[in-house]
Amino acid sequence: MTPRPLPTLRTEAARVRRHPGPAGPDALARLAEAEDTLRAIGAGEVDAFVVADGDARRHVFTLSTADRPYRMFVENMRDGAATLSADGLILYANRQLSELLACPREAIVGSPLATFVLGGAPIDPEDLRGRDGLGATLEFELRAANGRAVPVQVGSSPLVVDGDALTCLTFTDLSVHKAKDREIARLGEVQAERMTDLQGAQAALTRLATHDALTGLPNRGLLVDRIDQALAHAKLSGRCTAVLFVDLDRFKQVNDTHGHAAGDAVLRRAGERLVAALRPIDTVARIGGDEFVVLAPEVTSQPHAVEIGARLVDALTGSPHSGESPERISASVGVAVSHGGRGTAETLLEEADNCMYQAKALGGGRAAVFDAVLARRAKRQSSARLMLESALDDHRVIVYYQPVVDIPTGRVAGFEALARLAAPDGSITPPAEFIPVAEDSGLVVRLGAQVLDLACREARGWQPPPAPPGHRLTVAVNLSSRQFDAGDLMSLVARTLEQTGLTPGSLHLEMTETAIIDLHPGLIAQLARIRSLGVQIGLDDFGTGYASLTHLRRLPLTFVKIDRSFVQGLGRNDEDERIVAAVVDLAANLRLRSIAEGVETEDQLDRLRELGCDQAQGYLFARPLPAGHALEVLRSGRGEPVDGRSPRPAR
Amino acid sequence: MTRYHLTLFVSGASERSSRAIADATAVCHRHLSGDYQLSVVDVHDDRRAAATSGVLAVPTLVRNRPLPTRRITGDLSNAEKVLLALQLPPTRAAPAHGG
Repeated sequence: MTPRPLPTLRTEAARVRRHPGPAGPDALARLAEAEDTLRAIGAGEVDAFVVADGDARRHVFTLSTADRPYRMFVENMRDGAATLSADGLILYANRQLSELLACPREAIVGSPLATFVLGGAPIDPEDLRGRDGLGATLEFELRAANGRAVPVQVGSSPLVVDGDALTCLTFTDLSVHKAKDREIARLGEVQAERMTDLQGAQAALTRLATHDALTGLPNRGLLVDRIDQALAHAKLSGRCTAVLFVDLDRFKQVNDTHGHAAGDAVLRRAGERLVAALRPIDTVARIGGDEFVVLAPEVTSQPHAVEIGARLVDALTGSPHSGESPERISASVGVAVSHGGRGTAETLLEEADNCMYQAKALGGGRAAVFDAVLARRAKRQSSARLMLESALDDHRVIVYYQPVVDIPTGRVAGFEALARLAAPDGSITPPAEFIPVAEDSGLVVRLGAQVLDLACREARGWQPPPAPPGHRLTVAVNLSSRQFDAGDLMSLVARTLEQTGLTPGSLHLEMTETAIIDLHPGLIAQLARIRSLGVQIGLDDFGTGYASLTHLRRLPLTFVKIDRSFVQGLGRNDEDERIVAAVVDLAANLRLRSIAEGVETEDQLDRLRELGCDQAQGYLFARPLPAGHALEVLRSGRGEPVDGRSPRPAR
Repeated sequence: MTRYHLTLFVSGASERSSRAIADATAVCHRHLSGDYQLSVVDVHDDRRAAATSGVLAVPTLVRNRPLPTRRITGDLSNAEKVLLALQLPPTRAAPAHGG
């Protein structure tokens, strides 16, 4: 039992009312019912209890209005029972005590207990009250009327009724206890259960109000209580207290793709894994959706707390178990540490929450610790999100274009479209400031659609320079994995092509290797349908992710982009050079076009030409430029390098 | 199809049980215009029913249908309070001949 069931329940009721959780109005109604039940019990409006669970250890005799079942219970129980007055007189004896003493009840009631104790030794009332007034367990021998000595174990419960200090005693006959054990009267058993039901009911109600129904873990209310307690202790001990905010990465996708039952299973499993990874003194709570909080009341230092955070990430990351959804789960953990009990539960939770977002912004699957720098960054994050949202609403998304050059001919083959945000004051926001937020928040789906539309629209208006027949300028647009998950990408692409009038063959779609790490049949089918429109599909950042030959074979690809990190090693690093050579060869063998990214020097371009790479892009030719400037590059002719310090640098 | 299904859980033939049965019957009779079914369960006879209905203490009156279920525990003599707790329709007088 928690020490304060009623206040906890009420506090929790108030909290739930302020912040109704995911369970919504029904949880509120249940809570109201639970409160009302407690009120009815307190007001003596009930006469029996039904639930029998919980860990009641001591009998309760406090509910005078529910005394009828108790009296029946006491009458029929297998132990002797008596009530003693403050001066040691027996005020009441049950049937079993009368049998133990082989003496009619009239002869027992009114006599001092000492009369029936072997040797007549008086029992010190203080012994019965126990040292702390909470009762005691004693052993002595009773003297029955027939002269027999009966060894008994005596349990005492002191209580005050109408101002009188009384002591309730139970006498367990040690001589026959075992033999009689199995002869419990049915009624006695039923009543015994009912007896524990007061505590059982309260425990059940308290549990309902303080624990999360799905995982059985403490909820936010209980967590806040425990954090406050831990901070109070830490003020005395001077120790560190850690609060770790745990959020499952990509949980929403599990729910969306595999249904809520699968999501629930993942949550339960996550709760179990967290508990298993921690010490018994630590608390794991579930405070909402896929959010867990760990309280580690005793940590030695901030690094220690971070270590615990990393352990939690490890515990949650890993292959799903059989019968679980096939999604890989990882988690982001934010760590906040209080030194010597500084701060409050709320500030620690807020700090840990901010850190968790930071961990998430760094790509998830990691723990991040609170510090001032990070707090500022987190603040920037949320303002970045607002900025992105308003830019999407106001259609202030613009597209910069970086030329892609045919290496053998030196001709501009097309452009890669890159998203930028134009602030109302005309300044341009670089991608590093909004792409991570876009990915993390899912706004990338809207962003991607706007960029696709703009890029197709603008590319439609490009007049290609005189070129061999069939030469068309292409525009490459990046896809996020979120767009695959968000719905019918094929329809979006088809609709955009139709509305903008761009030839499908001019549109190239690029996705990163990480976006297709989960190569499920649905994804392959989506891409195949898009490819069947005539749109070309390629892999971005090739070589940095997880794409295998299987990916290359099974996806309807037409090109791969060699990551800049390898290109920049050309002429300097043998290993990078071998990788580029291998990718170019591989692409050629699979009849895929190879495009080198991040080409900055003539030497790199020469090496790429020698290796047989098809196309290249990078600062050597041009930075990403606004549409008008990009067309100038085109007019200036055939992708000759332009001044890197262009009037409106993009990065 | 009967609209309201209610179950009253009581404990034996106690005085409180009798009162609860009388109160629950009166509330249903006056306010549910005959469109209800009220069952009385003694928890001594059927403890499982009580447990599955989430009843912790008795007397408790449970609205089983329409879902979601609603409960009220304790004194049932205040009809308004009972109707509110069980989210039953606002007070409606029974036909005069209902007595």
